[in-house]
Amino acid sequence: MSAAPKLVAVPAPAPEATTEGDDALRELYETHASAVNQRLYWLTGNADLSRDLTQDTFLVALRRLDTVKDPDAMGSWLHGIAYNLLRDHRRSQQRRRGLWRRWRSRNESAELAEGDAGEPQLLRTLEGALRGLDADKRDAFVLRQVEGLSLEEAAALLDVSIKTVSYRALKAEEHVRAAFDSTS
Amino acid sequence: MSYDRALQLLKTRSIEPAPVEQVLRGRDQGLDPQMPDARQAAWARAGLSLSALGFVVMAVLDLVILSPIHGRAFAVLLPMLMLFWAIGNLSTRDLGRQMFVRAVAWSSLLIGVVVSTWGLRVFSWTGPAIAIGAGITLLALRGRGLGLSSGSFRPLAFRGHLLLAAVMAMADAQTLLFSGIVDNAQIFVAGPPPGVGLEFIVPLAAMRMVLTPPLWCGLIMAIAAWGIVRLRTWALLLNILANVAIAALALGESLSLSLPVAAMLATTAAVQVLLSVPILASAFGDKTPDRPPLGRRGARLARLLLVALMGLSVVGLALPNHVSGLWRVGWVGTGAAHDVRQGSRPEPSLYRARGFRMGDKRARPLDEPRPTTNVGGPR
Repeated sequence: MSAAPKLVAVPAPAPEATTEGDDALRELYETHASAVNQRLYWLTGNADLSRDLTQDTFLVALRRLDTVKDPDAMGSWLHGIAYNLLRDHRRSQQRRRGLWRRWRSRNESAELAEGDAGEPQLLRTLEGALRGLDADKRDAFVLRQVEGLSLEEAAALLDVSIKTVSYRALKAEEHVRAAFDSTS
Repeated sequence: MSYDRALQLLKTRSIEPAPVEQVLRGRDQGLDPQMPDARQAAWARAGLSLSALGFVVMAVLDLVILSPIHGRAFAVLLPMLMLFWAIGNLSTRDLGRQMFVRAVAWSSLLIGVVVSTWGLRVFSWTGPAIAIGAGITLLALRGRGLGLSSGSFRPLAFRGHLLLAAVMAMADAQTLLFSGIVDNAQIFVAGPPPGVGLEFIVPLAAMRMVLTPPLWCGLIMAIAAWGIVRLRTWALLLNILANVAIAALALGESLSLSLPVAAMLATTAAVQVLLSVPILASAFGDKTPDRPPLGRRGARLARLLLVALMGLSVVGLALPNHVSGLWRVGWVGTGAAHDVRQGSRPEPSLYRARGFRMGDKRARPLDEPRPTTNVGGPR
């Protein structure tokens, strides 16, 4: 007797956690972890946080591998998970910190950047300017200016309209350029 | 120039990810960033407990202040047990249970708002506790736990739509069943429960039950929710039909609900019908793009609605009698639409507290002994 038809397509059952499963994860990690981690670093400006979020991304991906619709689009799927986790993290940070704490934290971050003697002045200025942006504008700036994504790609990842991404990226660029103008 | 150079420097700056062994170790330790963390789970548990406490107080009030044989304490058992079940399943790594926890919380939130704003004055003080507790739970949990896989619920497309449809159907089912049981709570006293329905006798308990519209709507919604979780096409069709019927019955005053509650129910029914449209269109061959039902803006709106409902549960208490009193007729506002339409004055609190109407022959003063001849027996 055949089973009743399903409303939408369902995936094959997920593979068990075996040696083969570990190998598959290793392969997935080696292929995509650097790109995910790099983007998260640009979006957060914090190397440790980006590593933590990258690990979380792959832990989530591991549990949801069976829901991947298109194996060729694995990269964008992983970036989507990473961005959602980043948003969750930001929300929890916002809840945790009051306004004055956020202000203090921003200044602490700036101090860290200032104190990093190994970095060239230009990079420090850029990181300082990026920290002065709110999360939405920073995201748009990173995706458009640093990564060079198209407006459509950036809008899809950020789940906003193309106009919004364009506006945010423009405003962010103005802010960052102003920071360079003021230092020069 | 310096700006472009700085961008170049940032692009070439490489940060290495952590070794893959750490991810494997995390997996072996059962770490799951999608599940609520300890802090979120604690808040959610506290919220559910507060809601459950509200229902417990309601039951006690019913037993102590009102008639011990009225049966409302019995009706409260359903949401109360569901809340205790939800507390126990808050950290379970199963999508079906996580969905059910949300449904229980949404249902409790709505019941809390209804109780505080349009419910009996004697119970209305418990409404804010129920609503705020459920709201805290939903705010604390957000989407945590909803990205999991489940044995039967693993859709490749329209996951968000199906998830929302299932949660709303479950929440509606619980709310309607609760409403139906409240209607039947008067089975222990003389007179039929409000509404039209199929009457039957429960043999062992020697009780008379009436399958009122809220009861059968709730049962159908429960079946539809079960089918949606199993990804059955018939379940979605049933869900649409049930929602259309619920909206029609609610607005046609057949669900024994007050006008605002009926409007709320009709609105959620309309939302569920709209949710199903792209899925069914896709199932029948349409190439509708699979977009999340709630984007970021929609999620923000949902949270705003959540907070507004929590606020309404508190404000509802403060509404003066001449405003809310029009609708303050019975726990869920039996026959209120008639009162509003005909402009009748609010009933005295003594009768309202007993759920009776002015001129109702069943109504009697609080100090009068209860009739015993027809308790538990057929009319």
